[in-house]
Amino acid sequence: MATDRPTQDPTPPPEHGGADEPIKDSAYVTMHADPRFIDLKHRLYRFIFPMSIAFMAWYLLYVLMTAFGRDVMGIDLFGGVNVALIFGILQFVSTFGIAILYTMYANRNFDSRAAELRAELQNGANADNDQEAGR
Amino acid sequence: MILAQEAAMSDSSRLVTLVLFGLMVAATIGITIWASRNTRSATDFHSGGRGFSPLQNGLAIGSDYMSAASFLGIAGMIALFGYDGFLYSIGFLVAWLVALLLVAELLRNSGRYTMGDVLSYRMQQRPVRTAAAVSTVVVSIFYLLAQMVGAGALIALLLGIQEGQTFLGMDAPTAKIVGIVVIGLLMTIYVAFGGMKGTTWVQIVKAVILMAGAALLTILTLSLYGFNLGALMTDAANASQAAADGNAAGFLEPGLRYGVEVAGDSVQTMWNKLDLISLGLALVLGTAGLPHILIRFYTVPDSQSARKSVNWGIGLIGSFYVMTLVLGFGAAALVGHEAITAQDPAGNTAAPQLASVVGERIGGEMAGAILLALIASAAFAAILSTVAGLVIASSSSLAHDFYNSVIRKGKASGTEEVRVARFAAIGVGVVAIVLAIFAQNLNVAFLVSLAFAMAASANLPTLLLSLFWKRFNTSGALAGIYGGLISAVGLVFFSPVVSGSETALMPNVDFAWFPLPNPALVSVPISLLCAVVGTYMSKEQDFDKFAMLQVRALTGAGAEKAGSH
Repeated sequence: MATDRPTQDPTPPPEHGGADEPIKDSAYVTMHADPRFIDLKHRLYRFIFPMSIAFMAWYLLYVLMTAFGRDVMGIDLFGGVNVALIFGILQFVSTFGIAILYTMYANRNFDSRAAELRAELQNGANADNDQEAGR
Repeated sequence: MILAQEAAMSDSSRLVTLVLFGLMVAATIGITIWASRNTRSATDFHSGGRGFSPLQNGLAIGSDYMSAASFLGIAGMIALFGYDGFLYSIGFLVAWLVALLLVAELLRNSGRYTMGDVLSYRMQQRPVRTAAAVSTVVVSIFYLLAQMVGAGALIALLLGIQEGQTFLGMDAPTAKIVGIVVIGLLMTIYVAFGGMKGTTWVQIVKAVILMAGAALLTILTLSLYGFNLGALMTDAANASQAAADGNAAGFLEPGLRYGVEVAGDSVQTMWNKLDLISLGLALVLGTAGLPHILIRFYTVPDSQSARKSVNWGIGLIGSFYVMTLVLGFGAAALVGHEAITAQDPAGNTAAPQLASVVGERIGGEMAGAILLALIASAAFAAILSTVAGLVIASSSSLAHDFYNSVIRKGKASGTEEVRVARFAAIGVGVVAIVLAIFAQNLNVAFLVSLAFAMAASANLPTLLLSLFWKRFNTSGALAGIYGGLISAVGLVFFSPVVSGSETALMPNVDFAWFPLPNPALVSVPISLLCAVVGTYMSKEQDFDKFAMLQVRALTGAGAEKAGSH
């Protein structure tokens, strides 16, 4: 870990560490309306919102079944294993599955695009600063 | 089997347990001293320098979560009530999807040290930061109380001090208080000196010990049944209290503990079932609103690492809960209902008792003593690290949100903020010790579920609206936080948990009019409603700030960077 940190107290700058210049507020606001950012946002929302609704519905179905569907939950499927246990294990499986799906989706559709816009904002801020310094 | 119980805490086993406890304390103090030498800036103290790897943070996330309450409590609940203990595990695990999909990465990109950073980003700083600090401290203190009250009783039980017995001149009530004070002092030392770096390493060590201990006991238990889980479950059901009541199959089905069907009282049956749903809601929505979980996402270098660390956490926590299922059923089958409730009516010692019996069956008395000591120590480690996580969440929020932003209007230097945070840790530690001693007789499960309900009501709706709703503003955030907090606490106050039933805190008075012990089913919608109504009551709207927050949260531009690697 950070055993070789310098002893000075790095309080300032408050917003940004490293050598990067702070990004101007106006640059963020401009970026928010950029079609590429809107596309990025849609790519994220298209996955996280439907998937959140899906897993909540699936989980609530499970909770409702434990409360009101006990006849079904008690059905013995094989050798002492009933529907309730399988339903519970399936919640585990779906949780692992959704985590894997999301990670694959984000790796493929989101990360590189976010990195591109991030670099653009940062380079813009650094360039602005160089201009001012050179003036 | 009877012999095994009598020998459950022989002197040799106690000695091994004490030595292991001592080793654990020495190791964690060593980590703390090392970390304190490497904690200089506010980023070091609050966020451990942001240099932890996803696996390290994943282990620490698991550690924050796999508290003694969930290790011993869930195993015990499964041992006594069968399937219903498993319900808790499921809610606790699915909850991580909320954190993964909606919160972790956006929070990492847009915040700095605390939950309040994100809540207050678009709002007027001082009132929202104050509300965030209040809610952080209240939720964390309730959770902390649950852990410490449990810890006091557990240490007494883990050392085998039962009612009427003495050990080193302590009887059971004294041992409980000593346990609370020792835990309280240790957690304060970890946080005040080691900051987030020390706390995180203590948690990493604990996660490894706990996973290893649970895995060992799971494998040994299964080996007694030839790795046939079905046989173990059948045996557990037949040995259970439910079987004694003529309903062995009921042990493997929901309904023995939650959503109990009361014969001839359809109204009470309905309330019980709604309470089960309310509990399920609190479990799944609470996690992503727990401040000590949220600040873990700041300890990694970037949002991708935050995502990976949640994935590690989900993997670890999921496999851990599968193991507690085996341990719970194992305890029901091999230790038995009577022997478990004889030691602790709530079943918290089921897992250590199982260790003793399994060790003895496999390798004789000495093996039983050693296995018991190992599992008791793993539980002890579990207590230590979770409480430390809660203390740092509170002290960071007090120093960063309240002291720096509210009192000093953001002008405090990093050194000053760290100094205040260390003192805040000591203050929180002292308050928690005193409250825990007075709260000793409260039900641990009740305190935990209340903390989850408060987090689900006060924090999560406001956090999500801050990140995703353009129109959201200061008065909406305040209404959401305070509305959720007050409705959660208020509904519990007027529930059968506090008055009007034999098991209530005040059994002799009755002012209960809210029928559900778990408030989330009502308090979460109330919080959302307050947030929306509060928002429209005020004309304030700052779309530029929202644009800034969103661009930062999604792209990671301007995000806090790791101190060094």
